[in-house]
Amino acid sequence: MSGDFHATIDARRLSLFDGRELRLALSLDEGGRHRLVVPEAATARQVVMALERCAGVGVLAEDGGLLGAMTVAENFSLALRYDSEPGDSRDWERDLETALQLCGLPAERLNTLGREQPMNLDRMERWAVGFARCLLRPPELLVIDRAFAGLARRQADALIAVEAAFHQRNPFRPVLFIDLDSHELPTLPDCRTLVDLTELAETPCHC
Amino acid sequence: MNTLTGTRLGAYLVLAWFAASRRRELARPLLREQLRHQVFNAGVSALPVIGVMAILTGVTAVTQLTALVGADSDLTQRMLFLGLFFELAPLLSALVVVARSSAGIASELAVMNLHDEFTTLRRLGVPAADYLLLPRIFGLIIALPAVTACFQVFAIGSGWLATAVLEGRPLAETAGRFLDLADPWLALASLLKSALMGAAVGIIACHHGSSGKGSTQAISGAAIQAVGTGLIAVFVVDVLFAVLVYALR
Repeated sequence: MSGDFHATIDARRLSLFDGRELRLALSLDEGGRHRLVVPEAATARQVVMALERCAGVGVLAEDGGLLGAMTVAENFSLALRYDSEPGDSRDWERDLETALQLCGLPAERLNTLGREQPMNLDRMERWAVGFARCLLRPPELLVIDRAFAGLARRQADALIAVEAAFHQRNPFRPVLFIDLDSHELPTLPDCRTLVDLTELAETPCHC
Repeated sequence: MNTLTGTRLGAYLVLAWFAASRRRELARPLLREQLRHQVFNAGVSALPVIGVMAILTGVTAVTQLTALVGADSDLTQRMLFLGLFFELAPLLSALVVVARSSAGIASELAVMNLHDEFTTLRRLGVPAADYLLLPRIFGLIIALPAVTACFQVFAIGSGWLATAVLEGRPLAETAGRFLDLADPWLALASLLKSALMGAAVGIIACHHGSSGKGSTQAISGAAIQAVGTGLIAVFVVDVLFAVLVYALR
């Protein structure tokens, strides 16, 4: 494995290359879950950097990708409001509440979540807020970067259940999980593609 | 060109060019909000300190001048205008802003760099340089002349009062003499000088905050560099304007 990753999109297919070797090919119109297992964090970072250079690829970091100096509501609305017009009266707080409900957060938590700083949230809540943003602004390909690292099995199962909401709302947009090679890697139901860079082999999914 | 951009001065010039070429992005509602926030932090919240400094400086300047040159009000007023209004007001205002805002901007950006928040912004589809740097640079360009104007008003006002008390002249007469001797072009030049100082301080703070390595040591390093280099830049601008005024006279 050379470590020189680059990705291209051609005819609605994303191809990830390691040097000249094709490691992963995805259709952007067929939806579904896909998984790429990497041997170490450095490789994961390289792969993510290569993928996010492609237009339409969105990355959800393991910590939710939130800005520490803003509240949850401000974090949520930043990306949505950046391109908005001055007279846009869209109710971003209501959109946040709707999306967070889809993420399975309890109702009593929703009332206070918007006013909190990300550092005061637990890891799953931070991830849920980042994921809620993706629900309202779904990218062509959602890359979920090392979401399962350090999670208990119950938390991993809950995360997979929450992620299912993306497929329900966007059945034709794929999700690519990038995970570190681990003996505790949770099973991904309905995973269409598994690429294991630790073995440098592409196999039909048995996960 | 690589040699130029590889130096610190080259980096400042590149950032200045970036800010000038991207200034129209400030029309976005979110960036305008950030700009207002920066102007408030750098300018409005500095007014109490500026006010006290200005009043004390005005009184000190007048008492010292009166002790030095006697009760010649015209000379005192002329020196007040050139020394205090044109020279000291922009300089002292800039020093206050460097001490308060420059370190804050640099360390804030360095912390964001440490937590990889520039990447986070990029992933959100928000240009990090536009969102973080433009409001801070233009915030100081707007705030510093405003702060300077406040300094001038407070300093000159306290100077007039001191003159009236020391020389026993009516306040209106003192004010009238000052305004007769004041040069409106130099007054505008003092505000322009402040704006350039604000630009320099903002560019330097933003550069050091955003370009350091992502480490905790880099945070303090960025703040120290921003303040130190900002102070030098303020004096460089001051000297350049002094030479320019001398040459044009």
